[in-house]
Amino acid sequence: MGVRSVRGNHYDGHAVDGQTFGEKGRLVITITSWLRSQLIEFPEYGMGYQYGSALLSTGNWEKGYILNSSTFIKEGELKGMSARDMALAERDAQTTRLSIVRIELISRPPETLRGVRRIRRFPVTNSQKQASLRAFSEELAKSLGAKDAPVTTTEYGDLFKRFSAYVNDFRITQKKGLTAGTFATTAEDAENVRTGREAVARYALENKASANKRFTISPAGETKVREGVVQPAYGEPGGGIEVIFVDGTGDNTVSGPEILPEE
Amino acid sequence: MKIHLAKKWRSKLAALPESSMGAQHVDIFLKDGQVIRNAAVFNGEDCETDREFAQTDIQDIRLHED
Repeated sequence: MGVRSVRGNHYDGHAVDGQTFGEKGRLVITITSWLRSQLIEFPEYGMGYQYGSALLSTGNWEKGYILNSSTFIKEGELKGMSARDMALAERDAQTTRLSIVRIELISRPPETLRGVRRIRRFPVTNSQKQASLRAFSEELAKSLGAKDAPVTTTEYGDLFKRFSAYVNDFRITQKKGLTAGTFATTAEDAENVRTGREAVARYALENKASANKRFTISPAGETKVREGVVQPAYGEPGGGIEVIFVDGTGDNTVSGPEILPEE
Repeated sequence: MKIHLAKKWRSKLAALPESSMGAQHVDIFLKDGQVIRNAAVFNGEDCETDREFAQTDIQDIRLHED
């Protein structure tokens, strides 16, 4: 689908400089399902909404809120709207034409929750850009902790490591799998860690006992994971990659542990 | 202080997600009605808490929700 299918719509109004505003100066645009499917992959700015600038088919940019990845409303206009106004606006937005050509999302850094950080402009008119959108999503996810990251899947041959203070790590099942919701890191990132103490620092482990037991995880392809960056916590700097195995891993996917020096 | 939890809690916690690598944050419900909030448990067995209690005092352990 291209720009022709991205129908923007207006609320109860008349055209001004090529744009359509309601009698209260409101601008509401329905977001097409194609664009919606892209937007839902990106983090929210606040609960239930994203925030950014939209390039309209008129050539004008408008900053505003994207509600539920389905409706764009110009900044400053949401405040005065009642629930009935919003319902009317969304209804009318189904029948009139005004397109969103491009959206520039603004991300809210979780570590500050102050101000905004502009991420990257991405066009929504060209389906060939989906690969770059995916890359953008992954890049954004990596600036967040794994809990806030979208679910992705492993590929066949991917290797992961888990550092633990315990030889009998209880997240490893008797059949050598991982239980659901278990943390680990990528094999590449684990190469930065040579001692149990370094593991505590890089993965911001709450348990200060030396995490010098290193397990290797070789999940099947298409295993669900969330991947992010370890945020500073518990007096540790973090900075490593953390991976959550959403549903755990299958039998015989975990080996080890190898014992590293404690310090 | 660190309190060692009974095996039955270990098996229950193994089925619940971690809060970070190697740790879970839990609420411990005691039989007297008190609740110890947001205690850290490592490996499903080593509980770090400011308050002393006995194994027999525990009614239930649930994952802490922020």
